[in-house]
Amino acid sequence: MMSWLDSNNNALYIAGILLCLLAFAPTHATSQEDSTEPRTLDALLGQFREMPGLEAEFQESKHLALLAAPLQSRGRIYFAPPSTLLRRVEAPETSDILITPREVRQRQGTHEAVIDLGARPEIQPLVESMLWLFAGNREALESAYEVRFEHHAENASWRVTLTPRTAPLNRLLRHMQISGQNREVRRIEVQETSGDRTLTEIIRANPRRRLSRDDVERLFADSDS
Amino acid sequence: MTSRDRWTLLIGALLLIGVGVYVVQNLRITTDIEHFIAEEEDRRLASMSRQIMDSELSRTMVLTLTSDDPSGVPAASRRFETLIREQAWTEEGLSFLEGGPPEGVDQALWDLYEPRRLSFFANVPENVGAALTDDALHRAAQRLRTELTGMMSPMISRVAPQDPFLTLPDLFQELERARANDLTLREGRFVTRDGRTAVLFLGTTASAFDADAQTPVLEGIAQAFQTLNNESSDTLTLDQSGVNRFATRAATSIQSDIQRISILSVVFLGILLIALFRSARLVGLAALPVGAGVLAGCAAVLASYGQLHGITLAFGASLIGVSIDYVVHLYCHHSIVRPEGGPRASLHHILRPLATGALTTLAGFCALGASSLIGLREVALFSIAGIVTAFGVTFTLMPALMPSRSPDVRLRTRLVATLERTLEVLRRQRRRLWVVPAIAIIIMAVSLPSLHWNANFGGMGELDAELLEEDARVRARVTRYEQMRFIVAMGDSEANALLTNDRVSDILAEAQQAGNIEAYRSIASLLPSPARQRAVREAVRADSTMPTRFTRAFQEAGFADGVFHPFLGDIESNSAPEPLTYDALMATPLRSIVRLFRITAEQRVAFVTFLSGVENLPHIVERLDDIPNVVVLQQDDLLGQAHEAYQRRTSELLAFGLIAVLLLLALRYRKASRVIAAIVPSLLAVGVTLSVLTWAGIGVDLVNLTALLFVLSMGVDYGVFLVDAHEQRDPLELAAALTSIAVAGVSTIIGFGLLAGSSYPVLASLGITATTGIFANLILAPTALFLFQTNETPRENRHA
Repeated sequence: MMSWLDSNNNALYIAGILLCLLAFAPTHATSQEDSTEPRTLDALLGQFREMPGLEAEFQESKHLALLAAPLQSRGRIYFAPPSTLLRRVEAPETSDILITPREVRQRQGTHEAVIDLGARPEIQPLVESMLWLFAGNREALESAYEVRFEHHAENASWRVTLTPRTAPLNRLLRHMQISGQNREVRRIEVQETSGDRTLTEIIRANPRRRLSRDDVERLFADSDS
Repeated sequence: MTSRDRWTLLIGALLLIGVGVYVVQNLRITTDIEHFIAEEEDRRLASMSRQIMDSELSRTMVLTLTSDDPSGVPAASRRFETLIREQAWTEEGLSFLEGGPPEGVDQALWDLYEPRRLSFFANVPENVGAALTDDALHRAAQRLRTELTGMMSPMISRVAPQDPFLTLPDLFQELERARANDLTLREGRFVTRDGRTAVLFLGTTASAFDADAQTPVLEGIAQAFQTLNNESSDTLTLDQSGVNRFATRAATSIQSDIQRISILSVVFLGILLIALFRSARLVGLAALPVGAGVLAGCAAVLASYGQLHGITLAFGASLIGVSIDYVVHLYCHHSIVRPEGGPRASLHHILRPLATGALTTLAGFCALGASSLIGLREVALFSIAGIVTAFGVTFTLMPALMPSRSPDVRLRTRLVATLERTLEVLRRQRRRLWVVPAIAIIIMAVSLPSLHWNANFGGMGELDAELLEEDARVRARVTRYEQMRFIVAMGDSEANALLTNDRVSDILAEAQQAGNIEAYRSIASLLPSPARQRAVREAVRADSTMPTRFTRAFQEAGFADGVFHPFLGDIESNSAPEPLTYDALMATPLRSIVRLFRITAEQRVAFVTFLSGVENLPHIVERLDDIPNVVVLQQDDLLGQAHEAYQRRTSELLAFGLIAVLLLLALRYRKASRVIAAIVPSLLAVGVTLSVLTWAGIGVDLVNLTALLFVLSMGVDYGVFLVDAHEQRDPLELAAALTSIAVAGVSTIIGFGLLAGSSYPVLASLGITATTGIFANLILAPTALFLFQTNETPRENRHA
């Protein structure tokens, strides 16, 4: 039997979804209007906190043991503070993931699934941790992850490494690294325990895009048609 | 009172007390309509119908809590569950209560299905080949690749090495749909799609038709909701659905109506007896044979069947009307004729007509005892035991307990004088009396051609409208599957039953594709037969070229070399896990999904399939005809079919009963005119009653057809009393008999007249039938006496 399902397959399933979402957390820092480079974790999280909303374009490269060559995809992310987030993959296949404090909704083609977070108390902190990052809540974030911040003054670059502390996420995810330069998030790398790796590069971001929760949910609903 | 009398009274009292205690301790009233479904005619359908009616399906209630504020709904659901679980009845009475999915379902799914994934590769072995062609392999590889780009990628990438066709994820989704029904989850609770209504499923250990067990359940739910709603500032609405609600409401309604009517009848009878006999002792004593008869009837049915049907109890009330005749006849003779020797002499004097009346009644009910319906056999047993006991008590106990002389009562004297004058008028007008039966015959001739059989059992299956509306609200929110139509697949073993169920599922899948049915819910996808599980697995392994073709197709789609070794290893492995079984599923939290599907029918294993949106049932039935051990159950039609069978059989039984009554009367009187005078009034009364039922639009159904047997029996009693009294050629004897008939008849009419106003259709129908029939008997019996008896001359009146 596969070890990853020994405890709770849905937990890891949701954790898998989170991997897709986590890859977009720091795009706020790409704001061209901010001139101060974040030298500390608190400074970086502070910038996230001030974000009124976010729309960003990304391209992703998945290095999976199953595949001889990486899988490429691209899409957008929308975030409405404090807790609504939509990840939309536009190519090669379209798919949406909408995350709210209550549930995670996923749509791929005609298939839609809803995961009730209230029914999964063991999963809820994982989902919330995603929102903690966006909300810049360091205390809460550190309860779920070991958070390491590195700053390289020589090229004004920085890197945040998040390592899950507890199961089931730590059985799936080895760590996630978010790196940037000056105000910009350039690259997110998610390393799974299986050896699979996902590399995401931010092409363009608008951290001043004001979005409400209804706006994001409407975007998700519109993808029906 | 002699020493022998005292001993007789003591033994009688002890017996009555013993029977009374037994009845009180064992009284269980049911309203299960299945008691009135034929067995012999279609034992198989009736048995299965009863099984389904007594299965978890009928013992499951659906409770919905609705609020205008969706955010509070999950918490309200959780609190409601807690409040119910705190109640005492749940210790033994609660089978399950689920407001959300049980924990551990996902793990159970994985544990049971992952080792057997090859057995679930396709629904049928025939589809495996199509899924393993080169084109299909390329499509499977492309699908897997697409899935890996999507949101489920982390899970898929771990499943794929041993399950590249994604059999398990597909199965999981199907199970998720089966579990969720039309509901969704919020904070771990079942809620409707709009989020405004929480849904809880409650199962009871007792049968839905066990009113005693269900009453605390329903009261407990109401109490828990009251508490919850108070805590929520009256913002919640509770709707409930469950067979137990209808059954309990019906049982309560029957019990309360019968109780009310019995009390009123007794009060009225008491007033009548006091007015006529001025003796509290006689009034009290009148209850003895009647009460003993009802107790004996209850005891006999409880001892034989373990419970008493509400309808039987209603007929028990009718028994009061029959058994009171014996007492009233004795009182009237004792008070009016006043023979030397007191009550014992009176009893001796009227013993022959009393015994004849009792025997003819018994003959009718003995015939009914051969009915194919359990419910009617109960009625027959109740009546036979009741009548024998009432007669026995009248014969053995009453003379010893009655006062030796009855006081003169002016009202009685006037009544007797009036009746004597009436009899004289009738005698003088004998040539014109044919008008009365002629009118009866004309009424029958006009009405009876329109006589119709009422297929809904006199409203026995008619459900309380208020509850029905609430039930519909719940079902509209929760499930779209029909509650009255099922397909049952049976087998001598679980494996055989599942094999049959597989074939049913295959046909329904085709019917669904053809648009003959919107959906169906079967255990087949979760639990195919062991044979099918093995066959599918073997079909996957059968094609020796598949591994090579598989590897080529997946490599061409970009998959790395060797990553699917676990899958290919399974294909080549000769060791396979044992097929999945029902018991294995029931041993896990998955029992909440599968338990509704299995029943026992005809002592065989059976699996039920639920239908939804049936467009063309005849087509489906035709297809299923080819499969042995499959039954399409339509409970509504089943009642109709049973009723037709009942009509056929009961008509025969009533004919036998009538012949038996005729034979008894012929043996007793040995003269045609007396036999005719005794029986024709009751036959005409039956005809007139049928006419009234036709006019009233009620028609003839199971209940009033049986009630007509009471009408016939009581009418024959009246006829016998009058004919025997007439034989005495003493106007006073005749006046006494007529007085007793009038008192008994009027009291019966009052009692059943009240029953006719019952809220429960069965009781109302019974009341109308008995009231009309007894009234007609009262008119026709004296008329027939003078019309058909011509050669007796009355002797002088002794005194009044």
